Amino acid sequence: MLSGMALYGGLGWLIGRWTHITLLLPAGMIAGLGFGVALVILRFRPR
Amino acid sequence: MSDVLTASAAKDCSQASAHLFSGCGFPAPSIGDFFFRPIFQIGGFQFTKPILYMLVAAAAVLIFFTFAFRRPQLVPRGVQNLGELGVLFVRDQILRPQLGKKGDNWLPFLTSLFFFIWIMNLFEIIPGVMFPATSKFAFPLGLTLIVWVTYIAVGMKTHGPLGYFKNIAVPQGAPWWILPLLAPIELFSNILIRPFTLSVRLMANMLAGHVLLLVFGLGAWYLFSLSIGMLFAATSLLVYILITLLEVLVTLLQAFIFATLAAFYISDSLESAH
Repeated sequence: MLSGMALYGGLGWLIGRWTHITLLLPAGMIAGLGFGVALVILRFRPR
Repeated sequence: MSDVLTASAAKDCSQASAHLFSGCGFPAPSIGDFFFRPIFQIGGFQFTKPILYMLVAAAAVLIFFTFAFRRPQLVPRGVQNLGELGVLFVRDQILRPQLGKKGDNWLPFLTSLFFFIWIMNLFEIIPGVMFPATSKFAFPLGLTLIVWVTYIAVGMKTHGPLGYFKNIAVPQGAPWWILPLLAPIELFSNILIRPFTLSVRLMANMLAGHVLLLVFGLGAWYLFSLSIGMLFAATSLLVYILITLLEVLVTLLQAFIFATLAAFYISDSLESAH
């Protein structure tokens, strides 16, 4: 989860700096958090 | 007047001398409490107390286990008993839950890691030392780098370089269309986030514990005066003792967590695609 937030938040921040859209940082962090949760579910769900 | 001002300015308000109603404010702990004057210096390399404590911890682990298993008996006695207790603790509580019986080859590494970190942590509460070497980031970072290189090398040796990265990047059962979103997270996690959190977790816990002990220890000393301050000094001292007892647990727990996570990361690298 931390990786997702850091990675996509960082990407959002970088793109936000380029496009001057500051909302991309929190949007990226939330999206990354969602992907991180999805990853945890995929990895540890019962098969 | 200027003499009074000069005298006030020259008043010793160091941590050892400041007391309540002495005209000095509370000498709060600062980042300076984590930096030491070098014992000696060779060129640019400064040999400081934390380095000395690290060497003492390493020597203690070496000497203890050398003596414990120098002449091993089938029925252990004395130091061998204690040594076996330690090794079996690491084997049964750290290694086997993560790596299983086939991971017993990792026992020397994990045992050394656990006891080395535990002894460095214990220096926080040993009178005369009272400083955890692991609160200096360099020491957890160094240990983490060893673990990081180990689990990546082990993974690459077992699965090949491409196979290893494929294993860690592709979560099993994920639909193909989501892989471009999830694979970077897995790679980022394994390569960067894991070593970062492993080192910072140990450093931050020991740093926080040391700062708490400093605050309440200095508080008890500062408040110690023949006034109402005595009551607050006694309370501060009581809290100091309680935190010391807590730190006895924390020192062991942080060493346990570090070693367990090291074993888990190695196990994760050895496993096939997950």
